Amino acid sequence: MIYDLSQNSSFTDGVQTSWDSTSIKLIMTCPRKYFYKMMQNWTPREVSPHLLFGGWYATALEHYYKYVTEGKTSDEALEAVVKETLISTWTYRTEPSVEGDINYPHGVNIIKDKDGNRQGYPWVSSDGNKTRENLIRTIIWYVEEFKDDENTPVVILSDGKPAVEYSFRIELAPDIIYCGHLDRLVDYGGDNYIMDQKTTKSTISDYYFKQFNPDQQMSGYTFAGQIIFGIPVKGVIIDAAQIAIGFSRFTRSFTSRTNAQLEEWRLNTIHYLQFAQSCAEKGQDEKNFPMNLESCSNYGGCEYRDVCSKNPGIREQFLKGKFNQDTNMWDPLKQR
Amino acid sequence: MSTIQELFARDPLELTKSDIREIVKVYRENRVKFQLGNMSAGKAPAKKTPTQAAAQAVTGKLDLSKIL
Repeated sequence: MIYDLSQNSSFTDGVQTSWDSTSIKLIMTCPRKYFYKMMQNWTPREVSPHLLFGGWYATALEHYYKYVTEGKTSDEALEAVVKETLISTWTYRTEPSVEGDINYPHGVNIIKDKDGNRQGYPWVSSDGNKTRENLIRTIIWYVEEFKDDENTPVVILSDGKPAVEYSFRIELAPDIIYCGHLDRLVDYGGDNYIMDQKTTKSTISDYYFKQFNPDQQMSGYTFAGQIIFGIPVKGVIIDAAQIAIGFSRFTRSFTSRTNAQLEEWRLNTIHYLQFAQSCAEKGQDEKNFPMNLESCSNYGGCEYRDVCSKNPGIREQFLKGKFNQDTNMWDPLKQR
Repeated sequence: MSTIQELFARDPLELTKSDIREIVKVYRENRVKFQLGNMSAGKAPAKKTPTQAAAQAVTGKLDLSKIL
């Protein structure tokens, strides 16, 4: 089955040319997974609660720091992001717009009852820890933990602007653009670091942080920071949140990279991306994207493991039954 | 005053600044309890059973003045 990639600006003639850390991770993890997810846009009917939780959490903290930078007090910024997150985690029941509506024919209207109340329901997580209530708790507790942190002031660039909210596009090689988004560059004891947040259900220990070195996302952020800010960037500060049923606990750690390691990351990444491009040039067929059989069981099991375990002849039928293939594609070039 | 469960169950577009402040206040208080050693201080309150919710919906509308 050929999926129309012409609407995805990160692809040219069916070959991906602009890459973010999400798509790089996919091809490094398993070419077949990359094919199903990135090139054919098969997404599970039920989105992982960990992905949703992490995405809402990252957005909330990004907006919190943005509002503070714009002049809001910490309390004002926190109240704003709590309300935003409550809205993001709420689904309104909708119906197609009708002739005469402003948004007709492409929009939808929220269904209201006879009293004019909007119809909707809150997000109900399938995970006992990463719930809507615990998401709000984690945002509030994070701000309580770090709002008075004077150890990580935002770096002020030579043009006088704070180094926050940077979307970047960097050419790694001909026909390979590395793109992404950096929330904040901070000064820690005279060294510059990118800030990032992670969530986990596990107890956070030194072992937990070992996963970030080597790690393509952290190396990529450090590499991008050096290029776009034009100053030395030592690495990434990771604020990890342990999400338990009764509490959220935070631990801060650092991961650093040398320039030699960053150059190694660049060459390594180019190698994988050129491999992905060579697969795609052969055509949009799963046979061109080999399975990495050693990654199927990692992190609780690949979401496509049940697909790959089927006989090749019935996989497409299985995908149609268990996955969606909507038109909302992941496009690394779309700025947040 | 609304309970935290009621605020979470309400259409978020209808929540007032005061409602949001109440949520923030409750979780700040929970964090202090956690820091004092209560490991389940931040646990979300148990949701009402359908029967409890239905009972509350009815009792909220009772008007004793009509029968007294």
